[in-house]
Amino acid sequence: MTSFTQITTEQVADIQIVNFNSNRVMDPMMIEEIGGELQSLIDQHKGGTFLLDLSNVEFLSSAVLNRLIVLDKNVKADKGVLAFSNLGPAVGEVFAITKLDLLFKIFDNRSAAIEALQ
Amino acid sequence: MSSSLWNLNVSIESQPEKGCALIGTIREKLTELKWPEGDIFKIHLATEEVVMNAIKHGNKLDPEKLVSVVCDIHPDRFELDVADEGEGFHRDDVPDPTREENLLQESGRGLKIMENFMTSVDYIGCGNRVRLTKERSDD
Repeated sequence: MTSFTQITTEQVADIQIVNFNSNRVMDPMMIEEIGGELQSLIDQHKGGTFLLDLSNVEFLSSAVLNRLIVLDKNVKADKGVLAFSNLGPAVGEVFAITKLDLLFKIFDNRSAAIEALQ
Repeated sequence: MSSSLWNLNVSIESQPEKGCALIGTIREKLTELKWPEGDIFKIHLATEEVVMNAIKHGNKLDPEKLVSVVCDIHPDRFELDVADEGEGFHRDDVPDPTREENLLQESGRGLKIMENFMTSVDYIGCGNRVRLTKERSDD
């Protein structure tokens, strides 16, 4: 198992649940690091189900959104599922403005996501 | 026009970490001046988009090129003017990332976020200078 520094992971049923360790994902180096760690997790569980819990995320930029789109494409290419839960009001507004709420599976909270994704 | 409570006029090198430091300075000043958290979030995000665009897309990370930043914080209004030394761009040439056929594209969202979160966004001249304003919300 790879150890990560920017994300914390846990497995519930067959779902890989990811929490972000930083609440402001903006520094370009940090974005690269998070993207690399998420891709590594996806590669370890090809075709798996991944839930990104954003409850700890207060801020994210378009660079992060673009990275999430790439990850979503990679997950779908392996016939896996990428979903999100616990978007705060500000982050939710960013998703809505960019219409990514139409592209991604988004759940109000972790338990609703787990129930739907199992 | 109200007088400025804080003014910044700097030129930074085209390095992302310089941009991050500048954005942090502006955010700290808005916090110190007790702007509403929601406004600070929106200004932070828009400032990051415009400054990072200038560094990465405008000056293409060329260490010889500078990004000029003028920021004025008034009691009820935030103003930011960012210019790079790049070739500029035409706003209409950037596809709308919210159209269904463009949802999977990996660019254009920063401009959309800026335009939604700011009171005004003006692309000046050849497009290598952008001016943002945001009226302060009620607390």
